[in-house]
Amino acid sequence: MKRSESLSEQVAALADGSQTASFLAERSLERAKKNAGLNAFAALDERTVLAQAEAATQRRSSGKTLSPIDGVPIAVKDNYLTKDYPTTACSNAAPLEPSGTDATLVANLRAAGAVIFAKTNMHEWAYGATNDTSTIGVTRNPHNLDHITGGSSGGSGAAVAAGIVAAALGSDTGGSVRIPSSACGIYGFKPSYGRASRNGVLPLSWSLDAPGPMTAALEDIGHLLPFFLGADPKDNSTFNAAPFGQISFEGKPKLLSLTGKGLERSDEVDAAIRSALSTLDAAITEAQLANVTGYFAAWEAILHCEATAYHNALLAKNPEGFTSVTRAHLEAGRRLTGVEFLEAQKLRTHLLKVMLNELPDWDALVLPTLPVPAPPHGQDKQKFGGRSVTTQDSMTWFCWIGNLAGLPCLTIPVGKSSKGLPIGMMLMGKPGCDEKLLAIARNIDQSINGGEA
Amino acid sequence: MTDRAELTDDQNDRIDATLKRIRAGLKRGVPSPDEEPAHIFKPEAVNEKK
Repeated sequence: MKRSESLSEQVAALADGSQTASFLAERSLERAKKNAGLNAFAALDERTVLAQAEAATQRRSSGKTLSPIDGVPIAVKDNYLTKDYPTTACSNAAPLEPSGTDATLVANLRAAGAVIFAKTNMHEWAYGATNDTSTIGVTRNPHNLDHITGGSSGGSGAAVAAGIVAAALGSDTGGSVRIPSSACGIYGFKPSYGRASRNGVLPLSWSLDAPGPMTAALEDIGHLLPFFLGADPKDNSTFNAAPFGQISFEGKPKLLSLTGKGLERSDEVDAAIRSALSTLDAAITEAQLANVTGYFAAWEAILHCEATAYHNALLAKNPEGFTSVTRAHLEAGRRLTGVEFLEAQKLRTHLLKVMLNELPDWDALVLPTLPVPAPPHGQDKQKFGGRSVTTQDSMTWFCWIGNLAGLPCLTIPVGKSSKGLPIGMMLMGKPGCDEKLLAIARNIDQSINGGEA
Repeated sequence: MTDRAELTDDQNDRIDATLKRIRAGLKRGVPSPDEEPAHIFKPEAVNEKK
């Protein structure tokens, strides 16, 4: 699959007048129809899209353009509140949330003139990483329809990979931006915890959630982060958060490749990562991260406790509205104790201390995004590195680390499997150093993909 | 808390496996007693009138 047109290319075409917002919207609608088999969208209204695009076209023709992205179609995961579409989190248990309002990030993009294109399919409540559990059915991977997109932002991943839109919004609690981005061969960015507003994004876990962009090209992320990063009075975690600032990175980045028990990967993925790293002008070292099992338990404890606290009222009111597996997660959360939750939160601090103070100095940590390429639908287990783990756990295998430590993370495509499925490499930066991570990734992407995956 | 009898065997098996995994992991990974949990409490952040 050739990379589709990027958001950056659309921004340039709108600026030089070779394309209009209306043209882009019509083309996206046409591609959405053509790719209906992907099941990427939970809600899409042609009239709503065309009206937004027509307004953008008129603004540009009268010299009143709101921003460089004015007129660019952007799809939104179905757990972001949107004033013109319902928000269901792809669950039959209707959210106890107000409708008719925009999440802060959606409002930011709308104020910049972006065309809010559609709501995308997702794993129910973002509480899983395959996208095979959704009230509207599974999402299919554009690279091979028999394979999953990964999740939970799977519809966003499929829509971007298929070229329906150049950018989409996802949310990430244990990898839900990065997993489908990697599985679908696109770019995905999870900001540092507390730098991007979660207001109006239905929570999964307050300590771990981060919203992020998923795009056709790395450069697109730089166009979108100004609308993501910075303080929002409606989200206390962003108190005093710095707005986006451009930064470049000169010299050789210090890359620390993490290995160890619990960080195994398939031979095919390992070879692709090693091959990608071999092309870089970087100082690359390997380090073992100890006690991965303990940190994973901390992530899982925080996830289940907080998800249960959020859903408790809805679970009491409508238990049958949740799918069986999601309900089991929530019931497990009800049985964890306050002491266990706080022990998990202590491990969270401890992991960050180890990463920042005990590992050899680093500019970016490197891991595969996934230990295996996107599995086929219905395959329950994955075998790699001498292990047999559930497909669910294989999807979050590395990504949860970035959420537990609150690090900025990014996935870039680095190759294809023998079956033609994308393989992604994850970079993680130091907390708050989102711009530096993006600058390092630009140099790396240039070496691996020539700036074009 | 929902009575176990109201849940399916599969749900009960999943709950048991999840709790077993979490408790074993937490036991293995407990940091020193003086380490403070990660938590957010910035009282000034709640003042929307400032």
